[in-house]
Amino acid sequence: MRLVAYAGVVFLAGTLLLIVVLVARRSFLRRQAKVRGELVERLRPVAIAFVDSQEPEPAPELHGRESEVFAELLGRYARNLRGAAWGRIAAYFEETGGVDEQLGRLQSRRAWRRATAAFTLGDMCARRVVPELVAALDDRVRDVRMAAARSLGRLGAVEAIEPLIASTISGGVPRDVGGLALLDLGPPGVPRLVELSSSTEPAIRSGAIELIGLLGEAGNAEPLLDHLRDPAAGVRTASATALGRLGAGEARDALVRALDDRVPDVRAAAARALGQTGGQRAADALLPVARSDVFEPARAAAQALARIDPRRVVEAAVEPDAGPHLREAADLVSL
Amino acid sequence: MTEILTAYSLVAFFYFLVLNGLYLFLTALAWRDMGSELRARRYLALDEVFRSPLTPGVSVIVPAFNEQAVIVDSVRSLLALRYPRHEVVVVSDGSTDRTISVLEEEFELAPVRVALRDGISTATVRATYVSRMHPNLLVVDKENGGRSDALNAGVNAARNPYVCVIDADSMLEPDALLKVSKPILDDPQLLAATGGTIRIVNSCGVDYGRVVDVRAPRSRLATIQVLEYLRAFLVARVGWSSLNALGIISGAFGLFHRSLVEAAGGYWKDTVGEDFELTIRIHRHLRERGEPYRIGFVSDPVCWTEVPEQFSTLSRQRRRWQRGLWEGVRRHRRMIGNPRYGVIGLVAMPYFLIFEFLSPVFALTGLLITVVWWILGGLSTFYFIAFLLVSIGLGLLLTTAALALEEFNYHRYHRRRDVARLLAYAVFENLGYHQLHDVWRAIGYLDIARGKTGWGAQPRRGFGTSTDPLA
Repeated sequence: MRLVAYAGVVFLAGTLLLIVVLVARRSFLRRQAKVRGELVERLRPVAIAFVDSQEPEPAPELHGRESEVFAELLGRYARNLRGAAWGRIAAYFEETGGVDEQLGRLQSRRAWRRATAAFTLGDMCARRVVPELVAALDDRVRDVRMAAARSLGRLGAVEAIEPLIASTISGGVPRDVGGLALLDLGPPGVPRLVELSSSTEPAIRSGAIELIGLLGEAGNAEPLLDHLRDPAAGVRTASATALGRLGAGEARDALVRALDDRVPDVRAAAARALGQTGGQRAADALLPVARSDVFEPARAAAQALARIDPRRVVEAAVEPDAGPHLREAADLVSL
Repeated sequence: MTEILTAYSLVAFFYFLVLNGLYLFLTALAWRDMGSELRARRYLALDEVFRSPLTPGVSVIVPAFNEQAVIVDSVRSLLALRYPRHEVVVVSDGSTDRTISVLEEEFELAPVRVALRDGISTATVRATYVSRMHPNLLVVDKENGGRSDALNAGVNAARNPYVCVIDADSMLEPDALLKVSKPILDDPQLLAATGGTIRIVNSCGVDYGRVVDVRAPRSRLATIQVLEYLRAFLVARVGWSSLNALGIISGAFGLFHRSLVEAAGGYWKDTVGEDFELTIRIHRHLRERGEPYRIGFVSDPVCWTEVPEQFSTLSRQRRRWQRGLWEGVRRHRRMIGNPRYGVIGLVAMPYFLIFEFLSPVFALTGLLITVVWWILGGLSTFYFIAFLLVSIGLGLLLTTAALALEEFNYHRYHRRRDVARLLAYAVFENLGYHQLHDVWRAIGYLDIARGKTGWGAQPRRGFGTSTDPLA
């Protein structure tokens, strides 16, 4: 019984201790925030002048908290800058040892430290870190791989395209982050993606084709046409989507044929793509799909038709066999 | 008789210790996980998700029944969400007030014959509207069929692969959708659903559908509910989620694969705990198929919601929650203790039955017998004081730990007096409110026995915004 009473006292004492810690930490944080706010206000003009001036300015002499805040400001600006400002920011982080410090942290045993370092390196504009970031794409922790992919995109590391593509397609890096990094790198990755689109693995083929759609141009459409007859439905869907994004007029006939695919997702992707490529023949083929196909392809076809020929949608919608999707598309056209 | 009462008093005390021991364990897990989540904010790459053309679309579904006081602000906040591709689907569930009219006036709705999926059966849809100003706002006007029915109609109308469900009296923070969807986007094969934190908006400053000044509620009852919500979301949900045994994604803020909701059969209409039931059914659905999955919880994204400030309304809400809990547990009773369902069957479901549903029985009878038995001289005063010390001490410790989690990691309450007020109410919560809460939930047993159904009235005060939609 005495033990129970002691436990009660311990719980109450624990509560009081927590309250004391809470109050102390709150005061500490308040002071920290105030100091930081003042530093940001003071250093912002200095940082702007440093990255933005016509004549290169010497890096300011800063220490401790000041240099941390200054580095933070430069890192933030680096996300929206290119050109000469980049070089200045990179030089600053090289001179102050920031780059080496983060490279050291990239080897830390703690995953969050590695991820933070991989992320921060992307804002330091120093391109010499690319090999280390490429190695980080194979890290066992996804957050580190994701931060490295994002930084490689930020740094415009064209030489990292192959491993980035591999990580994105294999799922090592989430599609949205990997895709955006590749988008930041631009068209140089397309030839390798075209090679990968012939892989024996359907997932790799569809991933590569999807990325060709994002990074490529109309000239890259031709290798994709064959994939509209790929045995894997996912690849056919990706191919139709990519052809639509590329606005490939020469793919129109193949896309019209894809409207008869046995898989609804492929038909829906083909319909959307036809909406992007346009043309009278596409409109003729979309109308029956919009009228009578199952939900997703019919909706996609009606919307694609509205995009190509709004008047035709309005006329078709009053017919008795119009179906719900044409009526919806017609009402949306009239908005 | 003496032995029986003493034994029961000890059993109830033991039950209380186990329950609170479990809460302490969850608190420890929450502290651990919260640390990782805080560190991860440094490299979350939300900007990349926002910019990426590969980020999939989300349909935000808002079921609304007589929500004229809050719907405009709510929709406005949802339309302003920072997410690359999202639509807002408001489903008016046979509202008899001006819910549809205020939306029509504010967002220039036009009737559009929207094609709806028929995957989940619902009450008849009377009309559908699209906003001229915001083409990504869709309003579905349907006959009354209950909240689940409205949600199912929203799922049928959704045009995106993911659906986010929120209450009409709630507002999401601008980044909330990005944050709650991030785990699913990072691992779409594994994550089946995610939920976010609900916080209390009463007395906060709201401007154009956004919370601009976070304050502790002026109402005493709402203040105590802040503490309850902190414990429920920042401690319990985070803790259960780290065990992959999250039993509920709140109906006020949850994100699901649309196809998974359809495959599971949509929201169950014969319950008032449709969020709990759907979460358990998704666990069951995926476990029975042997598919690897996780149902996650992200504590950072916040949905602000209004809570009751009257005892009568709060009592009705808690009785309804008790009924909803029972309906869900009863429907999935075969999962209880069943190893086929892994940690959800072996730990979470027994917890819901023994420590959630039955807790009023043990709490009230244990307290009553202990007090009466002490008055009658059957228990020593020392035992009685020890009992009180442990009960109050543990309760205070758990609440303070939850508040400390909030303070250390989120620091939403900037005013010192707000934090002091919350700390003070931790005492009132343990000395009176908990017991009253148990009484309400015990009355819930009577509602269950009487076969009560339905939600009852839910009066809304509105967010006190700069623009009153009814003015």
